[in-house]
Amino acid sequence: MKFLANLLDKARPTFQKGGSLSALKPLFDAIDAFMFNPLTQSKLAPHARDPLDVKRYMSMVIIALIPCTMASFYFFGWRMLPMIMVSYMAGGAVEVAFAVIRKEEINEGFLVTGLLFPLILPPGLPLWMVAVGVMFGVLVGKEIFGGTGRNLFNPALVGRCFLLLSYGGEMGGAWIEPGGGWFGRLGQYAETSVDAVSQATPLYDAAAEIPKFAPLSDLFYGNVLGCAGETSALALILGGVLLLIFGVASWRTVIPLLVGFGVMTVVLVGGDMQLVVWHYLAGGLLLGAFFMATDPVSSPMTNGGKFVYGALIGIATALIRLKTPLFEGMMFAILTGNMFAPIIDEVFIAMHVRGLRNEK
Amino acid sequence: MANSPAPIGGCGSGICCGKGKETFKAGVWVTNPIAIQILGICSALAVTTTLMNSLVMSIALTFVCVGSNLFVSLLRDVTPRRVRMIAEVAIIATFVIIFDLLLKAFYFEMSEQLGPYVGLIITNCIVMGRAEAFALQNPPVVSMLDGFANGIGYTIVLCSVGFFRELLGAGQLFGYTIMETVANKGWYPQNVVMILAPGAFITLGFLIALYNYMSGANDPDKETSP
Amino acid sequence: MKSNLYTIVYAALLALVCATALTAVNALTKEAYDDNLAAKKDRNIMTVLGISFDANASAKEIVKIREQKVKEDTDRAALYGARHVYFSDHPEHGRLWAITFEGDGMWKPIEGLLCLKADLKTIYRVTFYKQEETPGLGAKIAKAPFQNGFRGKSIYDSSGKPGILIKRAGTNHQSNEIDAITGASITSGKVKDMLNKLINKIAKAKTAGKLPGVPDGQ
Repeated sequence: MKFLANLLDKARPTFQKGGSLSALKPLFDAIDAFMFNPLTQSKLAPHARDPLDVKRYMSMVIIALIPCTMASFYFFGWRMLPMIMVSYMAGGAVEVAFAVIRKEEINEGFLVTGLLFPLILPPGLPLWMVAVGVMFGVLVGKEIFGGTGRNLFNPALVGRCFLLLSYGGEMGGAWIEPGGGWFGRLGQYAETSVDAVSQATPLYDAAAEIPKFAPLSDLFYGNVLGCAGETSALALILGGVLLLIFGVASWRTVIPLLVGFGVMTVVLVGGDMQLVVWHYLAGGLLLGAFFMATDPVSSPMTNGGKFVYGALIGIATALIRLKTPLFEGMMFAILTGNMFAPIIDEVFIAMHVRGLRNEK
Repeated sequence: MANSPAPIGGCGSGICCGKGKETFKAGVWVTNPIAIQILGICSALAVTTTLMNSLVMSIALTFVCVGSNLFVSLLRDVTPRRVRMIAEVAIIATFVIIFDLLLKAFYFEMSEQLGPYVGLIITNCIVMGRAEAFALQNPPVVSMLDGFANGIGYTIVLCSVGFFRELLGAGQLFGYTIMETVANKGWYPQNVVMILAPGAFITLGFLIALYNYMSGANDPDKETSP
Repeated sequence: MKSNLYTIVYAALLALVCATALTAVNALTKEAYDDNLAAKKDRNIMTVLGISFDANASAKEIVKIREQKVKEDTDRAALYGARHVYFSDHPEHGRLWAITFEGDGMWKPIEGLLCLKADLKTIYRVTFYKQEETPGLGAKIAKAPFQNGFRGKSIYDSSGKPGILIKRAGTNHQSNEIDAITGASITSGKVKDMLNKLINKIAKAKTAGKLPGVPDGQ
């Protein structure tokens, strides 16, 4: 460790202003900060109170993502590894490029986006699409708004939305049959051309009124077709509860979201409780609720606002799922929620200000 | 979308000097109707799925803009002020409908593809804006030049958007295959979003960003973005 | 400020000039436009009925050829609940019937023509002349590969029940099953529904035997 620290310290002047590699200073800083403490504190949103800085914040999300990442390896095999690597490299390249142009340090925010992104894609998706998607997501979803902390939308979802609209055929047909048994597909590298099936996911079957509901237990453990990280409700709940305990994900968003979704589903499908539970476990609802909707940057800052925002997303998800041809609603619901987040904040802040004024 | 009574952005007294070269430069570049004034966006987004459509739409707008500017300018001294807007609309509408009818009679397929958008040039605020801001105060010839210049400015942006959308979305340009798509057993995987409406927003957004970068409009050292 | 009278006269004159100009242009172009519209419809009808024609023929010629070769049967249209029923005699397949159908698509309504052979059982061709499905996905219904999948299929299943099925490509197909478009199952489903609505009416009319000219036993 000491050796590494010395090495970095020795190399530092090369990257400082006037040094031969000064253009790559952000890259150096990122490595430095990842290994050791950052020299400067983050000043941007999320406005977390000390000692929870952005880096710790992101690390906790990564830890909470471990269960469903492992589940994706188990069900869909080693193909997840290149997917995650490509996502990090391609998105990271955009991140570095912008940091160099802006002469800012690289932000840790991308660590989460880079891992979340492959988890919300079909596991058999061609790798170049993963790269295109994550680059678009980081560029349009984040960098053009000013970088980490200033993005209006969740970058991973922007990238996924772009892929879905661009390459709908592949996005709807690159599923991999999940593995089973003790080792699942752990020993295998699923080849897209061989293993990809253009079968329908459980939600699709439900929307197409094919009376073939996947069993609840399969949905719970994750033994169904779907995006890499979304299938296993068990792993997601594990990670999600962890996030709630850490206080990284706000229960003020998650609870209203899940309740709103449930109420709307009951309204739309009737009181069949088993069907309602089925809808909770199917598709990307849980992944979105715990890891996407709670993104501190693109969700409202006010506590009251979080309630409204969560409920809005939950209701919209159920509506999109059950009443439109787009049988999976989580992505569009969260993006819609993101869009309203600043307005919701505005309203709650105005109300608060009026309250304060009246107290006088 | 773009139909609000146009605040003629960027058209201060400076460019309305009525001299040819400056008028032309203003219309084509300095106060480009789409990239700077963000006018006429509706059609720029809707018809740019192919380069050919963009080109025909641009010709239509240039034709209407030149014609209406000429007549508004000719009538500028006899038009009572309080009915001037209605008079402008009547003149513009006449030119638009004439173009639409010609298209329907002689280029039927193109007219089918452009759908209602040729007719909607009536509400395109570039045309109305030029008539209000320029032709009302200037002699006929320079007004025609202004209409033409703005038409060219519109054409440049529209055709750029159309170029990228058709190339990336369908692998074609003017209907000729440049990149064989996977659907036709080629190698290029079509990027469908470019054909859809979001593709127009994305392309136009990037183009405007590029334009601002080139013209230094958002240079922080020069706090005078128009 | 000019007087009210002046304003009124000005407005009237301007309106008169504009209206005259438009009327003149309209009168000059109307015929060509109407021909174009008719030719567009007739091209679709003739394509679906398998009548060959010169693709570069003028609008007038197209209409003329269609009038010569294709007739319309309004009684049958009323019976099928279709807007139009056209028929013509094909040198190889005998009498062919082209029936319009319409229904909701994924985004906007879809309209098309179903062409049946003389037995009113076998599909000759299908075309969709109005559709705004997702480009690259559902919009493939307007392309040859999907439409060719209909050729020679039956509108009855093996047990004689009317209706077609649009199934995932590659699976074993019965005589009334057509390849779906990969990735566009919603559009495929909607197309199936609108065709089956028409097919059911055709089948019902046939069993009721209401129409003269339909041979027995079919």
